[in-house]
Amino acid sequence: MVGALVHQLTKGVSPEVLKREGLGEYYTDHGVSVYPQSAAGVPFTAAYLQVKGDPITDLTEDLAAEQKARSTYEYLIDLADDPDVIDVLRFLRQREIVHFQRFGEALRTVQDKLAQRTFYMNNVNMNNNMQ
Amino acid sequence: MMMEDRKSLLKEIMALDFKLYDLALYLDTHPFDEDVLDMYQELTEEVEEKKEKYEKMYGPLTINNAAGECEWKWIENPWPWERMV
Repeated sequence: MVGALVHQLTKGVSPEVLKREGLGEYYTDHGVSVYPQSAAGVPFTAAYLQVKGDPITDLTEDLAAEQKARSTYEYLIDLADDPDVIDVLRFLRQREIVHFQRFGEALRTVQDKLAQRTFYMNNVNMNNNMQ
Repeated sequence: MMMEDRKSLLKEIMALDFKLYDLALYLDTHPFDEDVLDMYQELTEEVEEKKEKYEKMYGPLTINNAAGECEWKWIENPWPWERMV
């Protein structure tokens, strides 16, 4: 979604203007194509994510990811001045909050399940029976 | 004018799909909520009608419906990141 915003905002913009606006390095590496990298130019890598096969750990990772995304959208909103861009960012920020809520419910469901009868943390691994 | 009609129908479909998506997320953690199940069913029927109408008039919304009788219609429409004029 943010890539689509960048694509629309940079369409037809001359290299001179891109350079003046701080996108000279980006233009050199990627032209005006959309490349997944951080604002500081670090390429996206799956090493940013973790999967442990433990539903408590994994759902907590998911919850953290939603909050990290929310914070990022808020910082982008701080920096943006185009009302149409801000509208999109506000919408995406709201989605992170809804997703956080739903993941939180899923975590609670798992915790309730684990609290039933005698369920030990050692049994949490999905390779064992989580039925 | 025609482009305005097309845009507004597409917007209605997107709004309904978004509602359905949000309800689906809710139902994942509340699978026995009958009121929401009913709502989901009603909205599904509503959006299906609108999608059928849209696709008849303007072309496929998903790739599954892109095979015309003698033409592949998927490459006719603007991509989501392109601005519809």
